[in-house]
Amino acid sequence: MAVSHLHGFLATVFRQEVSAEFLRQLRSDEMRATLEAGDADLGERVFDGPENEVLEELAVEYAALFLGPGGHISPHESIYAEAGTGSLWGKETVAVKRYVEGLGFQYDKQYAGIPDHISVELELMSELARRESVAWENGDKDQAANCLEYQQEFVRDHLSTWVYTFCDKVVTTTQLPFYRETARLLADFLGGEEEEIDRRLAAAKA
Amino acid sequence: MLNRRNFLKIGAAAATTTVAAGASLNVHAVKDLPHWGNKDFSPGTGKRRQAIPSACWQCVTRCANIGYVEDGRLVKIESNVNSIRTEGVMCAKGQGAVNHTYDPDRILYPMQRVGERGSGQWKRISWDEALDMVAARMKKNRDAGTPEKVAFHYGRMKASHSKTIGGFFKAYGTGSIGNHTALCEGGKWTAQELTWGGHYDNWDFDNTKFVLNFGSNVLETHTNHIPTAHRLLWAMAEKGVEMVTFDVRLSNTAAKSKEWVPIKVGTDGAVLAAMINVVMKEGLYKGDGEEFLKYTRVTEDVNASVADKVKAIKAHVKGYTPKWAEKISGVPAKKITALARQFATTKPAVLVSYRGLVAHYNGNEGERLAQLLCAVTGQMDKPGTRMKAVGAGWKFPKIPSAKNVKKLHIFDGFPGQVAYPTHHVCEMVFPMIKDGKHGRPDMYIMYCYTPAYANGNSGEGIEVLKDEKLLPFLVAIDPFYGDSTMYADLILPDTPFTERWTAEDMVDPAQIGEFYIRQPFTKPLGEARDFSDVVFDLAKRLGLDMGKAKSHEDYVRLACENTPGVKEAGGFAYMKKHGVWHDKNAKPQQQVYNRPVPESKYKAKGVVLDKASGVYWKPASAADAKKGYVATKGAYKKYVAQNMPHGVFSGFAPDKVNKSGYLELWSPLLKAKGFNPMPTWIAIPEHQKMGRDDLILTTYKHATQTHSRTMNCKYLAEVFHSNPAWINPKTAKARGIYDGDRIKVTSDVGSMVTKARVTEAIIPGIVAVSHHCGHWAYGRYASGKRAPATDEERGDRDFKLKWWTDNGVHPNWVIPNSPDPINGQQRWMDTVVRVTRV
Repeated sequence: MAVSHLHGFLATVFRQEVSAEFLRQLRSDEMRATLEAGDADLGERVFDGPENEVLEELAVEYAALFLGPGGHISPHESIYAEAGTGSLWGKETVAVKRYVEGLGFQYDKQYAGIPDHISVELELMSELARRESVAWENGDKDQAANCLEYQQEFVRDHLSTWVYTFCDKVVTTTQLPFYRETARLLADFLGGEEEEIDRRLAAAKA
Repeated sequence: MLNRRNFLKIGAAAATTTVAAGASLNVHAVKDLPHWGNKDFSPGTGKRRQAIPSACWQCVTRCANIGYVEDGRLVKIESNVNSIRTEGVMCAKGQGAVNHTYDPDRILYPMQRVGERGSGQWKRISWDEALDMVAARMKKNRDAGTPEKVAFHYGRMKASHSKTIGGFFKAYGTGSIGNHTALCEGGKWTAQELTWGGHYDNWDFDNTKFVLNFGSNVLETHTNHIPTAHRLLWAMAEKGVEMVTFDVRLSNTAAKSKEWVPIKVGTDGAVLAAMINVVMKEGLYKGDGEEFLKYTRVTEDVNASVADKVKAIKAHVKGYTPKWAEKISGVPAKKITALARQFATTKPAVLVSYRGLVAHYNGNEGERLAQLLCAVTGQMDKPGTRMKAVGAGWKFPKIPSAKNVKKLHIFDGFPGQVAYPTHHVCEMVFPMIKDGKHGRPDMYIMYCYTPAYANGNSGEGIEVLKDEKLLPFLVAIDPFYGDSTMYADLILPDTPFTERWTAEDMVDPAQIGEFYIRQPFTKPLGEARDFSDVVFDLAKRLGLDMGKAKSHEDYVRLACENTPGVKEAGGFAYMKKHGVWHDKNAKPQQQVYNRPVPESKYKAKGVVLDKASGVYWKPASAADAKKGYVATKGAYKKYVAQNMPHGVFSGFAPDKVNKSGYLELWSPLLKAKGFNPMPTWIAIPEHQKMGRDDLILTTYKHATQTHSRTMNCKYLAEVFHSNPAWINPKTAKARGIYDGDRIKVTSDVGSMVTKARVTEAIIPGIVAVSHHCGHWAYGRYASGKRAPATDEERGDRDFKLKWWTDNGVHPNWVIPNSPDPINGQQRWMDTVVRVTRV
């Protein structure tokens, strides 16, 4: 389940500005220790700075990085696609939407974002990994393999085509360790998962 | 033998069998077939794409269009083949609008400034927070009795948008509402309002035999571009209609003309005056001109005979000889004479004019001279000539206005600066705010308007926008991070037009009037919202009554259900399906001025004859009646008819000023303000004081761009993004300038560095720089400013496709804000500059 949770954690980081609730969760001893153990140094201020100030700083940085207005790092796949046009709502967006809906999932009616936002893609991965985890717990290797086939396909066709570039830009642009480290974490985690998914899939099929 | 009749007999008999019923197809599932035409298919799946009829808004022409949607994505825009205005033609700008919707730099959420103004530091806030902020300012000012301190300044707002948004602010109680018409063509309209009342002239290319063009780039850009341009091209190509174009520059319109007549800057009026001289001297006014003069006022005496009128015009233009005009304009006297004869004797002929004539110090008089030439030749308001335009007359739901609507007096120029600012003086708003003597807004809202970029003197514009003492709270309503929006305190993310509802009404060259609507191709991206919907939410917060409608879509629905004709055709459902409607039985409108008015109307109770003007009107009080029609404020609203020596007629009814019902070319209104009442040649003062090295900077527009709002469209920017200064070889040589050299253009307000394009396609003594380019914001394609960490290796895909690096220059750093003294038109064509090689 850890893989699912980490996807979920990263989806939360990039979905929107850090909320007060999420900040408090980050500040738990357990979370802080885990992040530090994982070499994710989010900076002292995130853990110890005045909550309102930290939330404001993170919100301003989130806007500067991912929203604009003005030059920003788009968190949408279609902007990066090599064969695309660099516009919002490109063919790649449609492909992501079709993939998500093809699996029977639906976009939340309240969701006002664009279908290929990074948080959507990570949420999908989180859910696929969660189902895989349940399957392993139940000893259902066929179902685990099924979930892994989708993960492998989605990473290959979508996430891996753009997320490394996205993370690289965030790492070199951001003024705050929080986004630098979470972007680094995402890139490293996804890189590892590409191999891990292959390994787990082989195990499931064995 | 079986013939058609026998086939049909078999067919009739077959109806009694079962074979007619669909065996394979569930034909009943489809109630109505898709409308014929405007089909498009996905190259990927081969499926027919969803075709949504709507309307363009790239430029003010607002052509009916069709958006093709596949997988919820707008993929292509075409013209609506059923539009009588466009007849299925569309320009590149309209097609490029898909780039607005999916601009990677679009603003998708309400944003609040957190750093210094212009520092680019923002945070996202919710719509509730944003609207609470705006409503709180509005409440504060309403409670303080200063609603006028809420100033709303729009760039473009038309038809139902104008009704709902304008209605909201008037319901609140502020009349501090500015527009940008003086930047476009307000001067032309005022001149027309002073002469024939109403504004907007349609050029009837469908029926004309000759086109005489003074300074209109009609084939490239125009406020009714495609509906007129395609008709003109058709007339020229299919019917051999000749066009002669006066311009300082070989525009594409001039190049397509039979003849380009180069003319000195701001001297078109002199040529027009000389043409009138030729017409009068050679008796070419006889016949049609004499008939038209019956409805024309050229003397103080409103009962003057045609003979007296002819005499008065002759006396007025006596000194305007072709030789005199040649000295001023550089146009050979023989050419002027020949063209005057051709225009007067080719029936019908149309006189075209635009910013080349009117965006000058003397533009008002230029347009009035054009009206006079049309009058004396009778080439006016009948098929094939310059006609009063016809638009759609929607029956819009009413939004009640506040009892006391107050306004800041900052929208019409400094006191005494402009005589008749009927379309306001947009370019002087910031200088007036800076001056402060006439009040300043507490909240200044920019809607579809970028004052720092669109007005003259960009440096001053930025200075005012950045100064929190001058503008304490600055709100931008914009889908994009524009050149002025970047200085806002609060940004409300607007929708591009592709995601909006509107009931539209732009004029129809067929002279019938086309009703059409704009409907969203797709849902708004992110949390963007059409401001005409947002005002309904704001009204709730402020407790204002917006009438029957609950949203802008609802407002459009009510307009469709209530407007005669549209209603019977099927109302809102019909309009959503077809996009356009016109009355197929209607005849083109013409010559409304010579319709006799029945005695029952002009002798009705309360109607009196104002002897000085000959106007039958209905004064509100005995005091007004005593004061007289011309001197009573708003008297034009009480106009009934015009008394003329040969009867009482509907006349050229006034709509903005207290003119008579004549085509009023002797204007008591202008006389009262110290101007010559007759259309008069006026030399441009600055041009009379030029030094030996001085040049005149003139501007123009390109076919694929609008003034300020299209350079973010990637397809369009790819076509046109660089605007070197055109300069004649003689002028260049005298300054040691060669083609491609970097040059510096300097005026009294600023300077810019650009490249020289040395070409014979422009007259000596001037430089020409287009609008559109040199944005410092407005997204990556307009400004060239990349997103962070974007480079060749890690670039966004689109930057790898953006092969150009030259984003051009913006001439408004050099052009001062300077209005025509009669009408307030911004003088885009008059700036005196020095040009040096860098």
